[in-house]
Amino acid sequence: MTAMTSARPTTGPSSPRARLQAFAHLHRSATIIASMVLITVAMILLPQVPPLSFIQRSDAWYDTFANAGVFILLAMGLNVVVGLAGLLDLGYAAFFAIGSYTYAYSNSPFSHQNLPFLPMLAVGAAVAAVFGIALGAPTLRLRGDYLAIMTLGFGEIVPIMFLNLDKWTEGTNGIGGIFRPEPLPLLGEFTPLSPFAYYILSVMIVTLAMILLYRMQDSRIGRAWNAIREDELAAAANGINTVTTKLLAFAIGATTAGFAGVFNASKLTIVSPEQFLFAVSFSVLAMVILGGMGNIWGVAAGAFVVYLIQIVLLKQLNGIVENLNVPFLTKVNFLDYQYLLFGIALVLMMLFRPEGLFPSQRRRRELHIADELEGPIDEPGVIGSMGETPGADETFNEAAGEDVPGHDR
Amino acid sequence: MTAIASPAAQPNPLSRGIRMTVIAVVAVVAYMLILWVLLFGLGGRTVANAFPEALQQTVNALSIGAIYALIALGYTMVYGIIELINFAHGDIFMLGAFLATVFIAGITGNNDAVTNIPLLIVLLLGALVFTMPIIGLLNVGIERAVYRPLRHAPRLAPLITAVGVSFILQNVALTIAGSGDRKSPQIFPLDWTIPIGGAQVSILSIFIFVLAMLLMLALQAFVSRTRLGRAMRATAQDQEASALMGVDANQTISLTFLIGGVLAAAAGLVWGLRFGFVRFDLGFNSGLKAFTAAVLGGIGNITGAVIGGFIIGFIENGAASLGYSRWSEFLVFVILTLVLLFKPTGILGQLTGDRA
Amino acid sequence: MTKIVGDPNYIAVVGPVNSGVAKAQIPISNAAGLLQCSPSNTNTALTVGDAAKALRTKPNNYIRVVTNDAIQGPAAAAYIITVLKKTSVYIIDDTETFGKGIADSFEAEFKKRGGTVVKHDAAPKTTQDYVSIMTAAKALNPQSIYFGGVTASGGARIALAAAQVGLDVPFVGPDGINDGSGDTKDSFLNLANKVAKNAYSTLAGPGTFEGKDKFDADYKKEYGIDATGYAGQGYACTQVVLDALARAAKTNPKDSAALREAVRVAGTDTTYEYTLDVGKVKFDANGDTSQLIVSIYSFDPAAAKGKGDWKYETQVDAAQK
Repeated sequence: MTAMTSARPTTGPSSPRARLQAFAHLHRSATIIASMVLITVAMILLPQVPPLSFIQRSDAWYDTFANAGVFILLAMGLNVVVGLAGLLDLGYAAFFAIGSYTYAYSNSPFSHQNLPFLPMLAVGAAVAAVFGIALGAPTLRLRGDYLAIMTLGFGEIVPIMFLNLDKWTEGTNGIGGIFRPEPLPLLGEFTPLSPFAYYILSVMIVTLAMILLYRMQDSRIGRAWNAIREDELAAAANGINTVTTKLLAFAIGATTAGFAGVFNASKLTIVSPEQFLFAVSFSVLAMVILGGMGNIWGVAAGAFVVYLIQIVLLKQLNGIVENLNVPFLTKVNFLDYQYLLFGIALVLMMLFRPEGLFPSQRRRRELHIADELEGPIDEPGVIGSMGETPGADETFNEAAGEDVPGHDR
Repeated sequence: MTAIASPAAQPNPLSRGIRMTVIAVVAVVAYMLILWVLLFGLGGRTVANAFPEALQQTVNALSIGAIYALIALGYTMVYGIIELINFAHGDIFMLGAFLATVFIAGITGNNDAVTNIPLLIVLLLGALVFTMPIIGLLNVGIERAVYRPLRHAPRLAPLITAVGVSFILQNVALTIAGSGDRKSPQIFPLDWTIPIGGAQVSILSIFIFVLAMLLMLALQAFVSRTRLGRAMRATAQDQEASALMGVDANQTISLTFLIGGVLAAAAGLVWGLRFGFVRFDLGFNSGLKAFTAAVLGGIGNITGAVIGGFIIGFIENGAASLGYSRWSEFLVFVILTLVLLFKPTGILGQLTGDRA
Repeated sequence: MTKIVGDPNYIAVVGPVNSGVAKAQIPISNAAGLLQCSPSNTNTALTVGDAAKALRTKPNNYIRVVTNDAIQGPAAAAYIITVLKKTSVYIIDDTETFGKGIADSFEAEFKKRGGTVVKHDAAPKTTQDYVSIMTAAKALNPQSIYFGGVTASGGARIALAAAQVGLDVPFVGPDGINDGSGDTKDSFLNLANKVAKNAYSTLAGPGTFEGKDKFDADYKKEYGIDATGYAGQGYACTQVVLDALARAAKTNPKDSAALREAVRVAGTDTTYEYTLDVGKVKFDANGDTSQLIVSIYSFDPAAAKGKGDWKYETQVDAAQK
């Protein structure tokens, strides 16, 4: 939430706001760093004061924030695939798993390796990217729906592999005792008891990823993604190599998940197959959709909010309800309802606000084109007589025509 | 545009039917023989006792394959008509299994086999008559409420909605029924068996297979011979043109969801009879496999979905027979990957891949 | 767990119930020096070997009042061979930490005692068609079945499928299927009731102890449900923690951090012998109990008002061999 206010103030006259936006656009990296520093400082201070300090101690908050960083990274990565390039990836957790296991192999008693953290961050991301390309290269030629199902399958296969190949992966036990990162300058030592170093590290990784992603979005590649998402045929006609461009989006998404995986493994110190099931892919997808597909800040904020709801709010609700002693509600474990809530949120968002809570302008326009075109068709009376209403029929053609965004080939 | 297979368009539907049946029988026998060889080759059985086992397993494969085929039909028909991967369809099947369980448990009140044949028939028919319309209408209602408003939205929107609906259905079941296995009354006597070739073939397996076949034949007849069925095929072929010809697209799409739901409900009933349990997350894996079946057979193609369902059943059964159950899901997905890469149109698929 | 270790008001934890959860918690509680006593974690890798070492960066803080799967699995093997007099077994596990671990230790002991393992298969809890798996099992003609896992990961489904294919042999499982009577929601006996006549289960602790009847009655009165599975062990853990606290208090710790450390030291003291409801126990340097008792249960269809319940059969004490 803080992210939004500092990035795009919503109050005040429009001209300073426009100027600020123009400035932010020109000096993207500086703006991101400045905003992230502000947010970081705010998030260091907030847990010290009520009401946050009542919920848990500040160290626990930093731990929560550091974990949220993992999901922010994942959401920003998936956003490249879903939000920017318009491809549905339902097995995103697989790349997260690959990044995590890469770090586990490089830093654990199991592999007898203890390699430095920062280079491994890059290696983990690279390995994930290689798998992303290996999966994407053949499948991206297929139509979009097939991609969804292929990634879903891939997301299922990867944990099964890690589970069943127990000679090389310790199977269901997972690889434990993973070494934490060696002490880093400025951050000091990484211990489970002072999550502060992890928190600052996660902020740094998120900031770096954000800068890179914004640069990419603003570059030629970013425009190519836009073009493909809005009209693939036209994009191809204009000389964009659609397969390569989509593959790049897929690889960037995988890379970001790899980053998240390495960081996560170094923090949890254990990786096991059940950490990477479909629920993870689904949660991250929900974060992207709720945040606003295509808007990097929006997605990051969405991920942060959703993660806090999942981890803190629902748990707190249990406690509050227990204290209030409401007879019916005390038996309810609100955590059990989180996926129900996500499901409902996804459907409602798609129906009423497909651009997300913090939309990107471009995406918003795109997603509402269909509404404007179909408008009257949605009325049951008209839709039944589609054949006889020439006006409606024309709109129908246009909207359902070959150039629907996200439609492949 | 994808098309639902149209046997009526073939020059001679009868001879085509006979040819398909012959191929199917040959394939099933071939599976049995291969399994037989593998069992004594790799599984350490003797030649003699591997045969009844192979026969038994083939019957098992036909049962589970029939269940997958029934679910796969819902995927393939919906995809054929509105090009939507209805991720929630597996959960529709799960709800069907729950509803049938509730119905039978509500009437019989216990878990015992019903040996009185007329009573058994009444119970089974009653369960079908009870669950099929409810689940079918639920499916129609979901389409009406959340997919229809998004019919002309960008492709991603209905797909994500379907994923959302899937989670909603799953968690509604979780909330109502809890996270554990729920007992499903196995009223069909499990000790009714026919001795064939040294194996004890359970009559329940035969019942499941025959019921599924009957439903599929009825569907085939409906699609190819009735007016509504032709409207369905026309809409699948070309929505605009069929609308011009006076076909009501919405009605046809609702009908497709109704049929999908009805078949999933039947699959749910036989699931409970055979495996004796239902659980909230049953739909996820079954759905994934059934969808794979639909793709394997050529998505949009009714016969293809049936063939795909049985192939998945055989793969899973083969893995279980040889003691590699934990790899069965892996195998299914590897095969899905290979099919998509090398023959994206599936076994019987028409030119699905070249749209737009 | 991070939240708990960060709050100095917590001086010890009873739990967790689940071995998988323990694996995630121990690194955190260990670094914080917070005493943890589990009433039901039986996974061997939590206390013994390299994997256990990898979980700990500081002196041990984790103890458990149940014995581990390296004892529980073999006890079932011993029971099948010596009491049930079955010499071959078909093993199936659920591919999860607990299930696979205990099935492996069962298999090793069964072979060591000269038994034949016709097949050790594994089926994840998402498996759909157990009937086919049991058809294959039947063809191998085992005299018994051992299931490594819990009810929720397929215990009852496998028992049902085995009955369906006519594989009518003793079905033996670990504490994961000893989860209540036929009247308990989601329990193995509730789901597999009509086919459980040949079922056996184990618990990694004494199945009977002095005053058990009174304990059961008090438990029922307090919580309104039957004391099942490891209820007695949960109480034992509470006794351990209170005992450790009383001894720690005698050292007059100056602040809450010192008290927490004193509780940890007192709780993990390998020389101290606790007198608990379940008997006299010590904990070794790994945190494992000296009480190596595994109790065996069989199915009693008449118990729990005809819904069926586990009936205590005997106990195997590995310490007395």
